[in-house]
Amino acid sequence: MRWLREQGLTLAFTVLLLGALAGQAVSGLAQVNEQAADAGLAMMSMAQYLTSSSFAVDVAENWQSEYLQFLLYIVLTVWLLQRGSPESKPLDSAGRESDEKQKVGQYAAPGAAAWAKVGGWRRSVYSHSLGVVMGVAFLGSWSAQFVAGRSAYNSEQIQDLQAPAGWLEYAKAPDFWNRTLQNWQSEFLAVASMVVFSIYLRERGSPESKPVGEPHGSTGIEG
Amino acid sequence: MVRGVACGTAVAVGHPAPTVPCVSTTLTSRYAVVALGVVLLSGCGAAGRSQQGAASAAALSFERSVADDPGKACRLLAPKTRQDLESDGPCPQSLREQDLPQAHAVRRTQVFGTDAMAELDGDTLFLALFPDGWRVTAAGCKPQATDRPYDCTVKGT
Repeated sequence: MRWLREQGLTLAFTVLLLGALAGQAVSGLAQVNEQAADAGLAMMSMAQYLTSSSFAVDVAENWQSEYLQFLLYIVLTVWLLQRGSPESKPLDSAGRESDEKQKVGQYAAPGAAAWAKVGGWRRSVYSHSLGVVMGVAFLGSWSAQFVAGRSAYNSEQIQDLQAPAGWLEYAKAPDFWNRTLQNWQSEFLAVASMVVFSIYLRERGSPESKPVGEPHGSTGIEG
Repeated sequence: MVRGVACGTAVAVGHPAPTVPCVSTTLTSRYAVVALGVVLLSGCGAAGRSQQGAASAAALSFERSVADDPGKACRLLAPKTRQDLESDGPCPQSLREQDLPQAHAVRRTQVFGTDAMAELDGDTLFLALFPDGWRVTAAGCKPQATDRPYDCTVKGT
């Protein structure tokens, strides 16, 4: 029970992820089969749909933009500040900060990760591990979107009696960039909204908000 | 409409290998699935190649049957395409009247999920995968200007 309470955030979002994926699979299959019926083509089973490029590209295009959002947020907030926002560091803390403040090497806390206590490349790697993993996840899911997107696009091309697109052609295709940019813009909007809204608005008890009574001008203070 | 697994390669049947081979997506499609982390492996390798072979065989069988056994060629048509042909009379007779170009060998077949395009030495066919195998959705197709659909003598409307 205590374990459940301490892992609640991860567990809740994992359940929400699986529920949303299941819903996407059911509604996506229904849509694909509706179109197949209209075109006089064969229906798909759920297993076929889950391994199809259609499902893969729809999942990947959303994943890549989420990882890009977090990557940019993690990296840009090292240097970029926002007066009054709990999402920003204090206005005098821009940059990578001192070893003492970052608690590395001789300043590491007793329970710190081993690579935070040592110097050299291991500390460098660990110091950027969050950004690197987000970056790899972004590039991986964007690549997946590209590969699956081309296959799904070519499937449509063939149904429309048109020649399939090669790799280079698809890299320049509106389909690829429209899928990419329509997701990016929504992520950037969400981040900008969060940064600005959290200056003036509060959610009592949330670490993403300043304490309710905190002045609008206070920066880098979380509830 | 969007369907099918990420798999598109070329195969030659009864004809030398194409001079410009289609790039295999076997590894890259698997990479896509692994990167996603949720989608089950599409089995695009051997299964993909086998689908190319099957689509090529269906295309070739259709071309050979048009003159010799139009009844068989009709059975290789997708339901909607056959329905369209039958609006002018019995399928075998209508098919013969279309005066389709003759082809004897497959130069290249590209498969994307349940859709395929087969380029033969004298014709281009479009196919779709049904529970009982690949069926021809359009035949006697000639390329038009870039980004325009092929002009096909036989197709489902």
